[in-house]
Amino acid sequence: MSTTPVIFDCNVYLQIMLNRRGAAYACWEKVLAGKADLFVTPTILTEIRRLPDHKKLRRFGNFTHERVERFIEELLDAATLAADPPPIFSYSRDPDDAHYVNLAISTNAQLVVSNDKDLLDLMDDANVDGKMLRGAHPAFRVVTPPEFLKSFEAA
Amino acid sequence: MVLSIPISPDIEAKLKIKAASAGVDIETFAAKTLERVASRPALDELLAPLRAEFESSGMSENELVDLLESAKHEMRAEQRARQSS
Repeated sequence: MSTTPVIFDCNVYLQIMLNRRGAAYACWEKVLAGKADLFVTPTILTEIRRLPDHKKLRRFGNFTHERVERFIEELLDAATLAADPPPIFSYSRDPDDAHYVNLAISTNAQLVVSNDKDLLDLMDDANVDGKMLRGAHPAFRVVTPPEFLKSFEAA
Repeated sequence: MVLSIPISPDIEAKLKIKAASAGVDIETFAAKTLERVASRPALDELLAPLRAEFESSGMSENELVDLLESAKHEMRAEQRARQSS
């Protein structure tokens, strides 16, 4: 059985925790079914841990540390924990997004699943950074969770 | 109960490495891992109150995405500001 190596944006994990009916959760099911080979890093785990504490997410009182840690436990069972990648690519529009790109390159996953407009715009030829990145790494892609799911339908 | 499970050579090699680093044989490591996974509460059960909270908020998936992206970018900006000060 062939598996798709992939990197999920930290917010995809928050969507998985919050909404079992969304596309992000369906992506998680692909990982649990062994159809996608997921990579995470200490930096991504830090973002997953920090985000629920943000003031904008305090409306979800049940977003507790206990629940997040339990999710991370499950995530580490399902994913490969990779070292933080070397900074090959840098992205002035959002420097922190570069981590996901560099992980996709260093693991040879070449695929990031995200709803982040800055990351998704790397696929746009009008984005100079994206054009250079894809020139050096032609297989590199950023897709939304629904687009990631469609790739399984096409296979 | 004795389980017999087919695993790929790749997974076998990874299990052997993890078992060796834990100082046990592969059978003991696999059994302990299964015991650990089976004894913890189901993730969906633990997350149910959080998911119910999201559902009762009336937010759509797109609204949730916008909220999460906005929170992420603010969190990162705050983090960068702290690091540069």
